[in-house]
Amino acid sequence: MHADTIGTAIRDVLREHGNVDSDALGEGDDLYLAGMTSFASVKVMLALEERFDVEFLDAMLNRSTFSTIGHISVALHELLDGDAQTV
Amino acid sequence: MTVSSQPALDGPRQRDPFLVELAERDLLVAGQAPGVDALGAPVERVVSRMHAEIGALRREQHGATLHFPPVLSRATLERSGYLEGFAHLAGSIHGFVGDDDAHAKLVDELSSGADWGHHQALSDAVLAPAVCYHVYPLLAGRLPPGGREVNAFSYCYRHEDTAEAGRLRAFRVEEFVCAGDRATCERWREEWLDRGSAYLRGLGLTVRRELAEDPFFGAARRLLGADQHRRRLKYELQVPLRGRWLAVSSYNLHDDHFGRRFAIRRDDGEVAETACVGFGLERIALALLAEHGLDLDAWPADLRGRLCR
Repeated sequence: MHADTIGTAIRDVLREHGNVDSDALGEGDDLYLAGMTSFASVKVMLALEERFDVEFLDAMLNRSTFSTIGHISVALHELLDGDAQTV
Repeated sequence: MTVSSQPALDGPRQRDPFLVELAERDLLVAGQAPGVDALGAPVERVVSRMHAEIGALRREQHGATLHFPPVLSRATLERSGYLEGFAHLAGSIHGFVGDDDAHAKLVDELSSGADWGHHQALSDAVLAPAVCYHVYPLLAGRLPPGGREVNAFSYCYRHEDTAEAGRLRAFRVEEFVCAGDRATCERWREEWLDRGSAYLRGLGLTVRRELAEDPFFGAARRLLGADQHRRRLKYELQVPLRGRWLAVSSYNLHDDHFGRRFAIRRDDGEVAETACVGFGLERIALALLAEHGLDLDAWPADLRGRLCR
């Protein structure tokens, strides 16, 4: 999957479930400071898993992974590239 | 009145042998709902003495100590985010709404064993799930330099299904809340971990310190529980209870969760962080009974002097 497709999908999910204006945010902007609550981050996690048919690894389940669009993108790439499948 | 001659009061759900022994001596008698139990007078005395002793451990001797009722404003619960994390544990309070016809229907339904809940509406109060929720709204505004510590006490309620010794649904917590910057909250929690361990050891209990996580509802546990664990936001002190470990005290960092939700600001105007420490008094009392025996007259003399008179 292309990086820009993933980026668009992340912004869609954040807009719908993350309670943030994702189009106004840069890759490195802090989503929690932008208004995403802890509960919203859980909804974002579940929506991304459903959309990409993946499951975040235990090591990824922390506040940092969901703190910026860039961090979410790195985690998704890791899952989608397949090298995480053997973990 | 003694109730030990009426073992039927303890019912079939009283499976834990320790609970049976406690009930036989009128030390802890099961109520008619699981985890809603009565304490015998000697145990109640221990609880009330520990309430005074732990309250006196606080850092700011001049600070506020507040005794709250077991009931909390519903607006405060909603604002706190509790329902987002722990909807399954919240105990809401409902009241009847309706006219004479609706009331007659309610009574009919009641007598026929039908569900009468649909006549009830949410009230403006809930049962307090933790003592600290009473405190956060009072901290709104700007804190003094160095932050604030508040000592608070009340009954709490958690809507749990339980038949396990030590897991009460209604229980009292001696709690301390700190608000300030991150470093202040971390240092404060560390001091309390030492102070709490020393206090429990002084009661003759073996103490272990464990990382823990809150029992978030559903999928939130995967992310928020794991994150809590990884970032060491929650510690428990555990003591032995008949072959298992029982958490009797918890030490929590909240980041700026409550600072944001309740508009608590540091003296420099930034959003404050908070931390809280709670001691479950009934749980400590049960651990003392397990450790020192069900005959309180045979407890070590210094403990008898402190907690039994």
